[in-house]
Amino acid sequence: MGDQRTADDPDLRVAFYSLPPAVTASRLCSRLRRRFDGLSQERHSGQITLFDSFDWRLFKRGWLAIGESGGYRLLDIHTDQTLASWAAPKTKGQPRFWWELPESIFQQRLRHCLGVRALLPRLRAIRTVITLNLLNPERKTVARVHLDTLQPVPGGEGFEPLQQCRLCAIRGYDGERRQAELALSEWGLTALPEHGLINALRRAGLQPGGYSTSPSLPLPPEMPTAHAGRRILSHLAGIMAQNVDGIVSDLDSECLHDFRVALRRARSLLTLLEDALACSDGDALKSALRDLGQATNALRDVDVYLLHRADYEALLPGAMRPAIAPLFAGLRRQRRHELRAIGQLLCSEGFRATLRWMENALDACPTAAQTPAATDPVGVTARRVIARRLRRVLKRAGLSDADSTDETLHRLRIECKKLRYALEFFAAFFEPVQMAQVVGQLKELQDYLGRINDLAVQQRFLDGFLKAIPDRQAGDLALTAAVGALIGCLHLNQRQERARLGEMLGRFSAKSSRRRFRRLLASPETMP
Amino acid sequence: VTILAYYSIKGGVGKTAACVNLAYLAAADGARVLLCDLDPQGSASYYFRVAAGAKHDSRHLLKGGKRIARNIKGSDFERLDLLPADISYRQLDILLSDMKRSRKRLRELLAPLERFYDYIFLDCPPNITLISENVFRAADFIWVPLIPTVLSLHSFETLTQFLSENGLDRRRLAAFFSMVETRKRMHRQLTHAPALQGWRVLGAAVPYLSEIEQMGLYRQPLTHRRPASKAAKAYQALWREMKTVMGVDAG
Repeated sequence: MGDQRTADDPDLRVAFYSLPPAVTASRLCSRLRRRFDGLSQERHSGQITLFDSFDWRLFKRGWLAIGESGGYRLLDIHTDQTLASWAAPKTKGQPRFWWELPESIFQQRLRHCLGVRALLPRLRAIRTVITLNLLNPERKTVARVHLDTLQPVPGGEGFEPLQQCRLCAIRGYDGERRQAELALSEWGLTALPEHGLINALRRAGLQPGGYSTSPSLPLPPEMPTAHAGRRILSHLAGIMAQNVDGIVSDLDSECLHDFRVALRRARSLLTLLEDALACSDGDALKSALRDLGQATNALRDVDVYLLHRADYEALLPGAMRPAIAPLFAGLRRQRRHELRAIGQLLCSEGFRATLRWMENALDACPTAAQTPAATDPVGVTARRVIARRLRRVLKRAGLSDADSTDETLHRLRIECKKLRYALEFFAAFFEPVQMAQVVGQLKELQDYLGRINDLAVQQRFLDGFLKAIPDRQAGDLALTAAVGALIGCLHLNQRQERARLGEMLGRFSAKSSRRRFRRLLASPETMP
Repeated sequence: VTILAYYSIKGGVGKTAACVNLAYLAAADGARVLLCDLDPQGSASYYFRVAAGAKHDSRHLLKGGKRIARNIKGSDFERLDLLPADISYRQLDILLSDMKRSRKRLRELLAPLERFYDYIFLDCPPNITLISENVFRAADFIWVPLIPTVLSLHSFETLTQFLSENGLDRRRLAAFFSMVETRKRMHRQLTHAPALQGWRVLGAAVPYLSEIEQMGLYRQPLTHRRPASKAAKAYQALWREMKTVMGVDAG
């Protein structure tokens, strides 16, 4: 696919206007007719559904998916252009993931944008579009004005009906677009800052782009550390809470992933700011979070195996691939079981109490604000914590080499994670470019260690699976052979990855890399 | 980007009608399409009701860059743009012959536009000229409409001989039958003519139908105006087969 043309392109300019209810299509026509040689009119009406992922990936990319009677369209919300469409067969249910779509431009675009996220219906509305094609003497359309009316669907999401108009330019006819713009502005209509459909989402109480997993809050650097720590903890509790419904209703595997990342960050925060948040509740909360994390481990592992099924199959010769089907059938069964258990856990009073605890309990802890570490400005604490974590990573990296066990490398990976979390929590106090550089070099090492760890875990899992096959009957032989081959491939991959260990550790521990960290930590605090 | 040339030595074989209808189908698929009307008769531009700007002529075209970009016009259809022809294009051969790299010029002119489009359709003028040689070098695929008549097949033979002599990869060329009248015995017989042996001939064919001629009255692609008509269905089948040849899935 070539480059996407953007809203800055004058040929694709589109303007949105809010219209008072008194403005009708005929009044709009008569106003535009004064400036154009001709005008043709089309009218469409029907139910539309606006789709996006739970975390608004399409919106963040500047897109929106629309389901309508003819199928699905991917719309650029800046240019109002249809980027791709799919005429869904009537018999087909609503697709949730890109891999449920036939191969097409529509599928490719969703694949790159959504990844493993599901496409969810966010708003249903009845839309009436009256299109006024503004014509030149050749009866060629030189600009378009669409009059859109959106009304709620009975029994659907509630919002105030709205009427808007869109003025769409056509490439090569900029003079004509300006004429139409003039006609609308002379009428006293003012342009809206965003696409009318995004406006409709807001009116329905949704917040396009409002979901973020970033743990960095715009805190003042002079805020006492204990206070800042509690704010971050409460924010992380909010992220976890937002994902509970998605996990229980099994929207997609990313809800659990985001939940677990927020949980790990919360545990890490309690460790990083141990002195500042020192109170008896802190330890109890840490252990409650650890238990919660452990309870979700199995489901996440199963999700990862199922999501990477194609990768595993690709490791095997074609003839062996069907043989590992029972492995994935078993994983799907295990997933259903784990999901039920996690659903019960997340709906329990115990879990709700933990969330409340994260949000409030530390506030109520009488000893929390008394220690010197608690009253230190968080900007100062941030530098101290990051420096300490960096020292630990460098020390462990120095002790690791090609002969290190998987366990040793895993510990190094955990230290990297803690450093990464510390950088992310306090990112707002540092210069963004310098911060991006150090996070980038850390991420490179983390990804590398993550791959080695994943390969080790996968081999152990498959080994356990092999041992659990009850008997060696004829039907199981092919499965046993395929799983054995898979373990062999994973082992080989791990060896190849490990061969780069010295290079990767050397790169992270290099003078230039340390200098970057030093420069970051020596930089003056920036106000968020 | 994939550059598709619709080309025939012979005129009046349904080349422009195919180019216009197939370009519309490509855009309707979701691809971003530019149709370059290189024929000074400007039939494709006429079908889309688009005229070149007053300042645009063959010299502007050959200078390239912003001069070309400024003259691209949006059609009435989403994602489908047009670079309209001008009568002065009749001098393109003369102008090209005075230029350096006269056989590669078109590819160079299109290069800056490539990142904005998924397909560039070239509606080519008939004859074998310097412009045609530019088209052969620029296009990833050359689609040749053939009427199943002796003269049409003779011109195809001339073309293939020229291309073979000039070392063109024959996998880039495919013929398809156009204006086919199955009630005529000759049309039925000539679809298996020896001149076609060794060259790719598509199975989908465009029949001779008055609704295709009527495109000139309505000035719209038939595939848009009457998508369920017999002719539109023939173009749809042809586009599907072309995508298979190009290795594009027909999603």
